[in-house]
Amino acid sequence: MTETLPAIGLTVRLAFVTTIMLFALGTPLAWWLATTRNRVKPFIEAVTALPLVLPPTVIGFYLLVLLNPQSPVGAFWVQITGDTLAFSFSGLVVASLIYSLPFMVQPLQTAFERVGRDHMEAAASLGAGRLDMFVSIVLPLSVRGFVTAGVLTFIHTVGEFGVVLMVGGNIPGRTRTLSIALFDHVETLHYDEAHVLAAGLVGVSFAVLAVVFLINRRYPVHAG
Amino acid sequence: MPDKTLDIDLRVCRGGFCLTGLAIIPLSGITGVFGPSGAGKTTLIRVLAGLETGTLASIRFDTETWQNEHRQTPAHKRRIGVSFQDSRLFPHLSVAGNLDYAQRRAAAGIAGPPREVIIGLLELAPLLERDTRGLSGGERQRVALGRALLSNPRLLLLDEPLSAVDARRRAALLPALRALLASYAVPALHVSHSVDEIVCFADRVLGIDAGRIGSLQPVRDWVTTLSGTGVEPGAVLSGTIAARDDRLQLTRIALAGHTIALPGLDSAAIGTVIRLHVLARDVSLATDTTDGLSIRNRLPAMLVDIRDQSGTPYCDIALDIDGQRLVARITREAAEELALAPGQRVFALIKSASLDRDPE
Repeated sequence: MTETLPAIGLTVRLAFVTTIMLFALGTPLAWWLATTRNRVKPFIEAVTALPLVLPPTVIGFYLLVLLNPQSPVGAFWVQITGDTLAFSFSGLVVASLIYSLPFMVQPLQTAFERVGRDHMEAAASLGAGRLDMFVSIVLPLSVRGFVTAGVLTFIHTVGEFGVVLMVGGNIPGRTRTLSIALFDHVETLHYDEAHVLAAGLVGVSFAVLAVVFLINRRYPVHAG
Repeated sequence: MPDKTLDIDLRVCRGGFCLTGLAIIPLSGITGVFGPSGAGKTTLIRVLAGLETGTLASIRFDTETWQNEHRQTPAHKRRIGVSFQDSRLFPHLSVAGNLDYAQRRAAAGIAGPPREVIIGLLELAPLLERDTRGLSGGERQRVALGRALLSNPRLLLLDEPLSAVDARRRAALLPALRALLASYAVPALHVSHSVDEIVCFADRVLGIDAGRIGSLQPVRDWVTTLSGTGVEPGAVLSGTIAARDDRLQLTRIALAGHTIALPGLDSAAIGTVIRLHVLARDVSLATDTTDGLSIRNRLPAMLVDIRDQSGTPYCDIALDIDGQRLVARITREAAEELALAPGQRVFALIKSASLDRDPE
């Protein structure tokens, strides 16, 4: 059990940082996708959805190639931070941002599209500029989308295994997340500890999803 | 003061439908926009509001260019108020919240109608704390109109703003709204497919048909030209409330040196100038003063023109009553038997029930 607690702490920290950063990155991207008439939109949508269909090992492999200290990105990171991206917490965050991106962008895009042009036009006719309109109309009408996107991103980051293993390895306290620890316990035939971790993940995931659906019931869709 | 105008020259195409034409609309009083469904009325409102992008249009509001081939002023900088046909209230805000939304963004410095006056006019007080989702269609439209007014607009665009409000309330609301807009000098474009509504509310009418913007006409001229368009022809008369008869339940109205009586006691003060919408089918003709008739309202008139309604048993007779126009629809048989001809002196018999009234 002494190895479990740091793994939980690390996993929660990773999921938290990833979710916050994806809110900041995913919101403008989802807004652009929901409102643009640009011809490149389908291609950007496809790129955004790629992590859903690619095997995690593929993403992990490319990230490793990209982040290792010999690559330009990895070398630059070492230069400014003195630490490597591969096999580090920062590297895990970068990897999580990429593989959890669709879980943030897709619910947000759907929510933004559902707000519809009608209310935005009404707001514009009343003198609301673009940013004002986004804050005063789009955000409040997309509460459900934000809750769903945040929770899905968080849970998915908690549960990812393949990419984390490839990019982060298995360094206790540094890159060993819950799912890696669970894998370790099974490999070394420590089934009791594996049971605790597995059941814990199932329980927490269920509880979080139940809360989401309860919240969604309180914030009905505002379309129309 | 040189009159301010809204100058438009449009060629707007949307999914196979085009709206084209030009108009110079005075920025005073109320301009009715009339036409059948699908004629392009709503498109015109949207282009004026700046809600259509990528269109070929040139729009000038007084000295301000709103749109030309190079640039387009975004909707939120035009300072217009739009009352949408489908209300478009914000569902996450209460009725009061919707009004606040407009008021907070209203341009400062110019005195628009105050909040209490708007709430009073549209009878919004009992609705203020309500959730917008529980409102009826008519209530939603009243709130939307109030919201548009509260944004302190320089031009009000009304797209069938009271179509879901019941007829009685609408009849009371339109004149009051007219008076409010006049006292704060807010010009308005009022889209409607109801002749009655245009007659009661508008000063002039811009016709739109099948994507063509037509000419701008004073409402009085416009009503007399409606024959053949599938719309009931009629005319607008101006009169003054002269007296109320409590015993007979009549309101007497002075008109062109004569008096006619309307059933019902009009609440407007004696001396108020009013408009009467008289449908052509409610006007009959007589060649002498016939006394044994139940139709009480007889006005001496000069016959101006006889317009044959080919394919029907009727003809429309244009009349002049001391400079005011009136149209009578009678059968061709009657016209022949009475040997009617332009220049003839006749009497116009107005069935009293046909009179709508509206304080001007």
